[in-house]
Amino acid sequence: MKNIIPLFTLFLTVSLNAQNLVPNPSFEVYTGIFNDFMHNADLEYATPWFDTPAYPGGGQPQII
Amino acid sequence: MPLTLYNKDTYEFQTPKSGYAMASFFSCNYNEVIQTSEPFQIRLKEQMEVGEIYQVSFYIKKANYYNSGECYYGSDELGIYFHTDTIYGMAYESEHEDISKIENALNLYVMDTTIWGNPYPVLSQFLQTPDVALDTLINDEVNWYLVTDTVYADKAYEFMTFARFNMFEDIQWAIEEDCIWGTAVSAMLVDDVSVNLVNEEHIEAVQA
Repeated sequence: MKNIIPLFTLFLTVSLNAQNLVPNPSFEVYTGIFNDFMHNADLEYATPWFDTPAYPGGGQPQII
Repeated sequence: MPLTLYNKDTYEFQTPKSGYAMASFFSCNYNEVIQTSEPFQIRLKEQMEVGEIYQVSFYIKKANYYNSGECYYGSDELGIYFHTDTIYGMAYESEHEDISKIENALNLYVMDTTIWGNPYPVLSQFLQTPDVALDTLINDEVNWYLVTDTVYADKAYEFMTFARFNMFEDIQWAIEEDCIWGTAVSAMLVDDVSVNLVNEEHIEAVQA
């Protein structure tokens, strides 16, 4: 029993450390923008990513 | 599975690092006067813990699309900035005519609207220093390059922003000789972004 607790704790620690804090890290989750063909779309469709214009009216990133 | 993209717009025949999607953006443009970029941001699942170290990584490669006579150069320009400020995006901009009215909004740049009568504000100064910066010239359109670094959380950071952080003269460029000066940008693809807590001391203590 004495050995089991540290092993469990180690497993729990490694598991917690493995959590990626970035939601939708591969941009795979997006709203219904793609039809029959893949094409470009604004990055904000891949929620919760946000575009931020470099200046008002500036360009915006996309997901493809 | 290779992904072939619909050739309606500008991208084709480049595959994500994983899955079916990736981010694409202009990290910077080859122009000494109009120094724009396309920053993008995200709110983390939870705040970073103050005093902890995090492993930050993402994959990047140069986009290979060509249209409208524009040219796309490789560069070493891209960084990640962690912050506690509110993020805002294009949707926010349409809802708030004056971005400065957004409470605690992140401000990356000083935009000068008086230079040379340019119709667009001109980036004249960077206000932030990136926590993670691209460490090499990216000019490969096929192979993904892994960028990875550790970040010490001296604050409870909640947001991360990919953006440009250097002026034109401080950027390393891979110039295409047949390109037209002034229309070139550095276009990049990013995939598989991760921020993971690194708690080596804790692991070592448990192992001991």
